[in-house]
Amino acid sequence: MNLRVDLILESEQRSGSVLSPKSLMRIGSVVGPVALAFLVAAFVFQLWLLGGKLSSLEGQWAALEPRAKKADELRAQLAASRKILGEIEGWRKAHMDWHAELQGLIDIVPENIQLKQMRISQAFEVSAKKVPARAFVAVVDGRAVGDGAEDAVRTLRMRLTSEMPFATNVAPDGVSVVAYGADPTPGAGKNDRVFSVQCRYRPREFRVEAAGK
Amino acid sequence: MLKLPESRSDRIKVLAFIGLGTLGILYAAMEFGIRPALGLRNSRRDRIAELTAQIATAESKADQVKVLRVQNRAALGEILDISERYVLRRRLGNLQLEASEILDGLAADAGVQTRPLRELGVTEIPLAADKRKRGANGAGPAPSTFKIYAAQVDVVGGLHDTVRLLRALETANPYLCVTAISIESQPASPAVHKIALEMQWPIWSDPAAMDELAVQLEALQETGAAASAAETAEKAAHVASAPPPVPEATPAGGAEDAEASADAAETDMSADNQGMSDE
Repeated sequence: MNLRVDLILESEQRSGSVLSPKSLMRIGSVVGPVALAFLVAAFVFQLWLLGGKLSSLEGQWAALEPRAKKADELRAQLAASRKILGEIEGWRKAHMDWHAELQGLIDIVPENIQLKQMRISQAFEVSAKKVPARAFVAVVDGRAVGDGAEDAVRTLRMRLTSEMPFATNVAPDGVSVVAYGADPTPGAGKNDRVFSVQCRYRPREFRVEAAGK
Repeated sequence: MLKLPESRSDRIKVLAFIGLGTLGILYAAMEFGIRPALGLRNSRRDRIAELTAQIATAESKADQVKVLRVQNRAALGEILDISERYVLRRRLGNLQLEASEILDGLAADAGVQTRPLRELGVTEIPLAADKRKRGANGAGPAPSTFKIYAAQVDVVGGLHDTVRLLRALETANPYLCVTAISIESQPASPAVHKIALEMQWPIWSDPAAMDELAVQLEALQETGAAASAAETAEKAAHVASAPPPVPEATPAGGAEDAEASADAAETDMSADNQGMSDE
């Protein structure tokens, strides 16, 4: 037979466990608000830091903005200046040194050829690169005398395509004999000839440089 | 400590009220506290990111101000130099007088006789005008800065005289273009041909444009000089505010050291100034 004797009343009994719901609630009632307060404080601190950084950046921006605007203004001004420079340089590139061409012509004309007339004209056109260009055409009329008249005209045509400065300035296949015949001048020899040679030049472009060179 | 009612139904009611109240408080806290605060934080972060990017761009732009100013000065200087030397100027609106004077001077130098210059008029480069009608990218007409002033002159002489005159003209002004030449021999006078030249000079479309560019250049030079002076002053102030070297020798030696350091500072400043003027 067993005999059980309770030495303490039921109401006086205490739990032997370290964590009881009551103690947890007590701990929670302290730790919870403290943690919440800490989170709120951390958040407010973060907002304060961000505000400080923001105002510092705004100050920096206020100091830099006028200089950035000035740089934009200068860049626009530079682009406008370069456009003007490009335009005026286009004039230089489109011009032709006729003194060199005429001197060249004097130098290459065979001895038995006498030049009678020369006409140089210019028209504006659009080049293959879609750039306005000056297109020059020169027409040389002359008289070749003697037995070697035909050879002389051929030589002149050949030199107009191969000799400098024509070789670089005249268009490929730009030289052609547009008229060739007996000399109708009274007293002219039987083998004397009159001719007309046309030189079509390569278009001289008004090439405008890009703005950002 | 809150004491719950004894009755089960009352207890449930109280707990339900507590639950609803808690939910209400949480909702209010979310709507009026947490969400606006998070919004504020996010907007600040976004603004900071935006400003940081803007500042980085602005800094790189600001660093270029000096270079851009120098490039602008160079470009404007070049334009004005070309304009001064090669673009035909109006004299009280008259271009023929200026062109005649240039031509007569060059012809005299080349020893070639010419007849009075005839004015052919002012035109635009025709294809450039067509392009303007279309407008680049539909952005409206792009004004052409230069127009053509055309004139014609008769030369009294032979082919060699013409070559000399052309050489003089084309060497003196590489922007001028001889657009038509007509040389015809005259059997009656073999040494003197019938020669006519047509020339085109560039002229400013807007006669005031050159003056405006000159004003721009002057402003740039003044700004550049002011900026250089400010920078030099800043550097000088920086040198002056630097702590002097501590003398460790005898009083006489200390005086010599002070003099030497002053000389060094002066040398530094003059070196800085030299650097600025070089820039």
